[in-house]
Amino acid sequence: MSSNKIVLTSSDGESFEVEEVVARKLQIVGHMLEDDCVINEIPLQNVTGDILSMVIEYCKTHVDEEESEEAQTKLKTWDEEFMKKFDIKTLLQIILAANYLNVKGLLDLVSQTIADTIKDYTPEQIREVFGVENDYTEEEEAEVRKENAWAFDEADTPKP
Amino acid sequence: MAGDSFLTADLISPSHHKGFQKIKGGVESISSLPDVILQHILSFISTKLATSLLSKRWRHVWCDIPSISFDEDNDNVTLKFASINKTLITLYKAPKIIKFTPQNHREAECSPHRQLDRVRHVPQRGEHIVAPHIHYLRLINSQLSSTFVAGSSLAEAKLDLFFVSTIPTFQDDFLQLQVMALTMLEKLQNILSLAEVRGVPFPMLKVKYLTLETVIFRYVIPGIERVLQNSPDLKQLTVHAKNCNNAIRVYIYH
Repeated sequence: MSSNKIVLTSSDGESFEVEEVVARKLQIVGHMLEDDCVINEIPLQNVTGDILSMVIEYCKTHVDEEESEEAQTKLKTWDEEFMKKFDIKTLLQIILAANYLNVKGLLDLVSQTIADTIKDYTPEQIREVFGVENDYTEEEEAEVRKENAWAFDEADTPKP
Repeated sequence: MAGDSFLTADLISPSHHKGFQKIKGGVESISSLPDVILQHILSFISTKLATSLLSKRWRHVWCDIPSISFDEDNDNVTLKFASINKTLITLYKAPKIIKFTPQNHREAECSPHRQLDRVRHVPQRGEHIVAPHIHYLRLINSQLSSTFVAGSSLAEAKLDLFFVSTIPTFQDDFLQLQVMALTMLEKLQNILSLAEVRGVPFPMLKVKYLTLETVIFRYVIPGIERVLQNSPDLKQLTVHAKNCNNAIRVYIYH
């Protein structure tokens, strides 16, 4: 079974030949394979080739997840290095793809990476880095800040 | 096995994986991600509330988050967590009614006793916590004489009430806790766990499913009896005897 090759085709027509065990890491593919065993070419409409190639890279690395501590540490280091390669915009695309393709490990990894970035930033910095448009009026923003004052750092919280 | 070569080895057509700047249909803003992904990201942040400041969209995303936890035993305690911790303590210090969780999230967990224990803060009497939209409540080792008022959305409550019977004010404490339980139970549909129910007058309960975790000793029986007598709507009773793996499930049919 593991020698079986499957071709994944991206929305922009790029094709990747991968082993079935790798393709099955994409749960969306796994489900298709279960429904019909004879598929060997799978079109993936919601992901472009450049993003798909990164997802495949992740899946190949995680294809046999060993229990041993050493293997886990090695994978963790690889994950960290892998995430460092990408800018924010690319991470956002990868997370969309991981969600669509249903790759739980990658979804968690990118979520964690983005979360780690967010939690070190002030709201102003998050807006800038992640392209969030502030649509609050000054009054509304003050209101939300007041509501949730306890969740902010002391530095962010206006002293009473 | 994490080599770099495999990326290109299996490619049928060349990948542009290095050209990050030229991504087609690129995601310009994190706000364009679907709610479900944003919530997933937020689940990795302990201070989720801080993001509600970003924009109107983010305020609503946070509100729908499935869980928030203030468990100090969590391994992922971050620096920012200290501020939540501090706020919880502030909550318990405040002598008046406080909005604890004004947002409409479905699950809230807090272990006030442990939080307070860590700073050796003795809770004051008559403290109130208000959580109108809370869906799930869990109080661990709660010795607080605070009252807790929950709204109609409360579907499940787990109260691990812990008493030291040598305290002379035990009766008083229990009455206070009872007020807290009573207020919630009016709305309670699901499960209530009481750690130890002793021979103290108990209010009428509207609870349908009741789980009792208790040591079965003679002195708790009258308390349990009273709880059952006062729970006319009860459909299912589960008893977990402490220090014992056997749970006795009793079904009550009307």
